[in-house]
Amino acid sequence: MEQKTLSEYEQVLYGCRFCPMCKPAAEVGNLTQLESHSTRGRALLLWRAAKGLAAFSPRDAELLYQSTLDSISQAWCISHYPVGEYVAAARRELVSQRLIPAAVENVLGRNNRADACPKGETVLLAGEIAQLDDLSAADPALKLLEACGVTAKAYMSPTGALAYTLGDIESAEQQARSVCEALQAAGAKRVVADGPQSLFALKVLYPLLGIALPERLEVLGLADLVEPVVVKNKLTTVVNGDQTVFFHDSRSACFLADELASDEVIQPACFDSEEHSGYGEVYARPRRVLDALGVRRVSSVWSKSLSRSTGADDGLWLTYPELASGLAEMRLDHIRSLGAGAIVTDSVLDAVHLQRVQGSEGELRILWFPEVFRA
Amino acid sequence: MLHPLQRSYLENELVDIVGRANVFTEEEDRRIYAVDYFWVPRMYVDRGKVPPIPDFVVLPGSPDEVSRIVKLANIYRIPVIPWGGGSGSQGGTTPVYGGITLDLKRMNRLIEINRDAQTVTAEAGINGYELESALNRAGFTLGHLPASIHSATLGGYLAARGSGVLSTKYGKMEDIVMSVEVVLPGGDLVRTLPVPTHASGPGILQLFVGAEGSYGIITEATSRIERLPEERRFRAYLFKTFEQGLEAAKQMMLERINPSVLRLYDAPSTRKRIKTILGLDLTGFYMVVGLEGNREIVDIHERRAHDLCVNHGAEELPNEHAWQWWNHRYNFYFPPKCLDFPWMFGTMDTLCTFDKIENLYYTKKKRLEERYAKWELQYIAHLSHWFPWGAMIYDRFIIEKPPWDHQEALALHNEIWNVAVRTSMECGAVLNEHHGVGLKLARLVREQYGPAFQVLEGLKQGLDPVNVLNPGKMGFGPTK
Repeated sequence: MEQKTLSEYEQVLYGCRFCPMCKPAAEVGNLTQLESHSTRGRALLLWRAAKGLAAFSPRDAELLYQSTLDSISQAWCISHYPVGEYVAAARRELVSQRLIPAAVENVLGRNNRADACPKGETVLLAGEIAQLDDLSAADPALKLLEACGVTAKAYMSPTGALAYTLGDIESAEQQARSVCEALQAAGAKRVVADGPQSLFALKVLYPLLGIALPERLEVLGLADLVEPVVVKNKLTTVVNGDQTVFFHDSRSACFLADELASDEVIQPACFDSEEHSGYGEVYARPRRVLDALGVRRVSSVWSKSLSRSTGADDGLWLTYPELASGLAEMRLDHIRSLGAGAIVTDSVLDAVHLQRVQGSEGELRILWFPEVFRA
Repeated sequence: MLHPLQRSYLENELVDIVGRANVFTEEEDRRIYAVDYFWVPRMYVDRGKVPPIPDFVVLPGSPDEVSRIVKLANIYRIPVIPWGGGSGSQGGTTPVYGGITLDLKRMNRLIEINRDAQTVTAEAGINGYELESALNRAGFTLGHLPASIHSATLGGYLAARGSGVLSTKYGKMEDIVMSVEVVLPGGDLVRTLPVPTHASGPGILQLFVGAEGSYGIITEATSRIERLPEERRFRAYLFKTFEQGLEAAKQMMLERINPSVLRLYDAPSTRKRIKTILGLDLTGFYMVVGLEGNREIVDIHERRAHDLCVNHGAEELPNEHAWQWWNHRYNFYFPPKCLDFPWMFGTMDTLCTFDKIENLYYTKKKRLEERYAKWELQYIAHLSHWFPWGAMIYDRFIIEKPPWDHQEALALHNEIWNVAVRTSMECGAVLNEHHGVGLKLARLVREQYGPAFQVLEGLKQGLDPVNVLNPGKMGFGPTK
């Protein structure tokens, strides 16, 4: 991942501006079916801006935020053009030009509560949970860590990841510094991320912003600590033996992948296999954990780096909640069509959002990864 | 030209029909609908110019909404241009007279897969990839796998009489479709007969297929489907001469071997495109032969196809090359591998009977390369869609350094097309094989049909006296 200006993406946008090949991967584009919401439509308006042919208009700004970062199109493209990066670059320009829509301004202007970081060797960074503003949401993760023999306390704070994806670099840097300083002051030796977005912040974003983590701080995801324990048969699952599970990868996991989808996936016949949809431990580890627990899984090509957003990614559920709900409905429909009885997801945001959209009477059981384990 | 006041009343009525969320008037949205795969509007954008853009973009959700919009268009005398996936290369969706671009992609339901009849019924706006994936899941295939499958819609397939990579076996879209539901230019919703072959008078199905929205807007279609083949095989060969490859392929068709894929590349294509995409450095004429279906039948056909190729001097290549082509055939269309700016390029696909193919290929190649030598025009070709009576030449011209000035570029572009298409017609071929007419070739339709054009024109005048549906295309004029 790189942090360039929009004009530095001109050549990439030159390639994307007329190309419709990533249509199947479109998220908001496949919800509204409006060409302006397609990757191609967005690339066309961005190319004109990058080339200096046109200034951004309020409608352009709206179209750029009525979207996730569109990293799924990046994964689908056989050339892996950096779609997510140029959308992020465009948003940075919009913020600097003060052209962001009111819906986004309201989110950026929110008073994001950051608690004090509790002292201790292991800290659970509740960065995703900070978007819910409810520290009790961290309880399943803390219980899981305890079951793995790890005593940890939760530290709820925005990580800067949301601010970054919305284009507010200043806030992202501020929040990043704040997290690093808090971890330093708390004497933490190990930080466990509550989900892929927090992990992305620690492992990818902070180095990109030039912000150093405390020296010798170990950075882990929940699955990293859980896997060895599960393998030793020391944990069981709440998932019924007759229930099949679909594992939903949040979009942030894409930025932690070793490799994006390979070009086999663009064949229509590749609909039920996740084998070529992305590569890396961020995908493999939670799946191995579920398999070791004896959970039966169903798969789909729309997984891993091709996992379609639930709408809780990249702040869309906060900025354009109607679009986000539409994405969640589409995702739930797809998972139902696979015959799954339950969804397990690596992101608490995805779990909460899907549950809200499905409602309490919905037939799919939706679990955040730590909730899979019996207490 | 609508006065702003009248425009706002029309907008009001459109919102009444489809809802505020599905009517778009901002220039930013309308600009995006000005560009599809047609080189000319892309060139305008590339040069910083503004191509024709619609006055409104409307996304209907049902045939009833389409019908009401078309009736409204007749009252306001405003063009209606149907839009599918935006992957058309001929300017079929270019709104030369402005109007309402009707994006049909909200109408994307798969209505029924009928296993007994082996048919699928779906709304016209369904995405090709989504349709094929759904059919594959059910154990079927449409048998229509065009390069544009990821973006095109079912309606778009039918509007341009599209061909897919397996058309030699399964047919073109006009062969695959069984019946369509159409909104006529007056707004009536009609359905063609339930089967495509009959003796119930003239067939009106084929009136709408290939008409690119000028006789009616297709809202739903029923098509036959095929069972996924038990066996699929590919072989690759290298011929020393074009004639040898052509003769081997022709014999396969005459013997009704029924290959799924028969793709013969000329020497420049073999040298450039096969190298670019597959990394193979070959001199000669590369051919892929595909066979699929019942295993025993494929065994027999494969043996015979192989013998025909070898008997015509072909060197057999390892079939992993052919599989590589099959597994990566869509890669050709992604940047940076696809044909793209700053080049000027066009696909001039045409078809003719076997006796005329060689003359067509050599005449067109020579004429274009000589006449445009100053521009270093490259001519590459392959033959990829075969019939029991002939074949399609999928030929392309490429100019790597076209004029920068948009008017000069347009003039050169149109001149090359005039020469190319007139050469095709002179050699006994037709205007186009599977991309359609659109705006690009509209001026040549009358020439192609001669006095027979009055049949098309008479139908248009009868069905669409005001000419609201997709004016300026197919040789028809503006909205009256």
